[in-house]
Amino acid sequence: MAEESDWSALMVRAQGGDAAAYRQLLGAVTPYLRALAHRAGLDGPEIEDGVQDILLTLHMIRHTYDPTRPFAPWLVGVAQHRLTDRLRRRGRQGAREMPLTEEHETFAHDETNHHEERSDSRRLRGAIETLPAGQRQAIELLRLRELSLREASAISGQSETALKVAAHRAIKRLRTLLEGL
Amino acid sequence: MRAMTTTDHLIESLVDHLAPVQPLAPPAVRATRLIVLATVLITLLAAARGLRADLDQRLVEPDFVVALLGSWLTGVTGTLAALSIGLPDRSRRWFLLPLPAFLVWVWGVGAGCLGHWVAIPTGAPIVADSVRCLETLVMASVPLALVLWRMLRRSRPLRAANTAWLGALAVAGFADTAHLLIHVVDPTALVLVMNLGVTGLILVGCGIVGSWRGGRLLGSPGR
Repeated sequence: MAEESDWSALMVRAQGGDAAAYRQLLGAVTPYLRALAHRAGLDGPEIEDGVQDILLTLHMIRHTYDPTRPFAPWLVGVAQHRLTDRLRRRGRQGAREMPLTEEHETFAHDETNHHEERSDSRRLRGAIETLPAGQRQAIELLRLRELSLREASAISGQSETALKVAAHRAIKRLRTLLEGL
Repeated sequence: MRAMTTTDHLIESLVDHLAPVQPLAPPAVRATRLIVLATVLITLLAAARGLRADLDQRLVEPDFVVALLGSWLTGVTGTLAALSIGLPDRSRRWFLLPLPAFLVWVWGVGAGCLGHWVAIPTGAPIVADSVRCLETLVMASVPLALVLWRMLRRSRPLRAANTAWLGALAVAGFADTAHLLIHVVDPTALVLVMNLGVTGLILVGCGIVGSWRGGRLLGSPGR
């Protein structure tokens, strides 16, 4: 129970803008969230995706935590909501999609069996590193992490329009960079 | 390991962009503000448009008093439930809070209709009153709906659809209280159809265009 009151105190400080308390809180709750995600039926990389969903939601609605109430039920409420959402989405996808196996990925033509994608991926990463900070962040949040504009905006502090413009410019620049290689 | 590294990066990102926030006031406090606003609005509407001619007689009839109290209590409990149900640490059972008041309201109106369905005062200007009735409906519902929507949007409710239904019911309750005090023609069905029907259309429309999952209209977090 000491942990619970610690979390509440950290959250109250985080609401006041204390970054160190926020870092400590998110670090402390993450293993607990992993356990919740595992218990909910997620496995493998899905657990981390689920945890990240919960952390993002926690960040977006941190003002709804009432400092006079215990923190754990609030956190569990956020977690359950996000995990249920993810499980529902998985159920829907499972009903109409089939995961690709190696057999599906290996086609008759030689060109489909190249392993050059890895070097392409390295080239892409390298090109992203050369982008200006704002464009790099927009690409990372919107394209690599596949966050919604709203979530990316909440994390980056940039407006949705600014993010859209930055992502558009970044893609144009990446195209030029990769065509030149 | 890679996924964990991404989670660590995400935490760093969130910490880097941390800004101080003002914690939301408890739902009861926020609900009280809207209830006071609704009561003031009903009073102003009654003062501006005049109380119904037969109010003195109706106020001694239990069915009418039950319907009046039921509609107002539906507004009160619906507001409290709408502001509570979207919070992460509140139960889904908040959805049931306005149910007793709603049943009392509908029962009071139904019983009143049965007992008085031919008892509209002779010569009462029903058609003209129906138009005024619609005006009152809009004047009571629209401002309350807008204020409640802004309050709900600020709370970024997790259960967006439930929140929307409860909000619509609350506004319908308050709007009908105004009607019962001002108009001879009983517009309860119209009030419910308009408020819940509009909400239903918005929910279905958002579902069709695919934005409801994010509860965008209420600012709900989602992907």
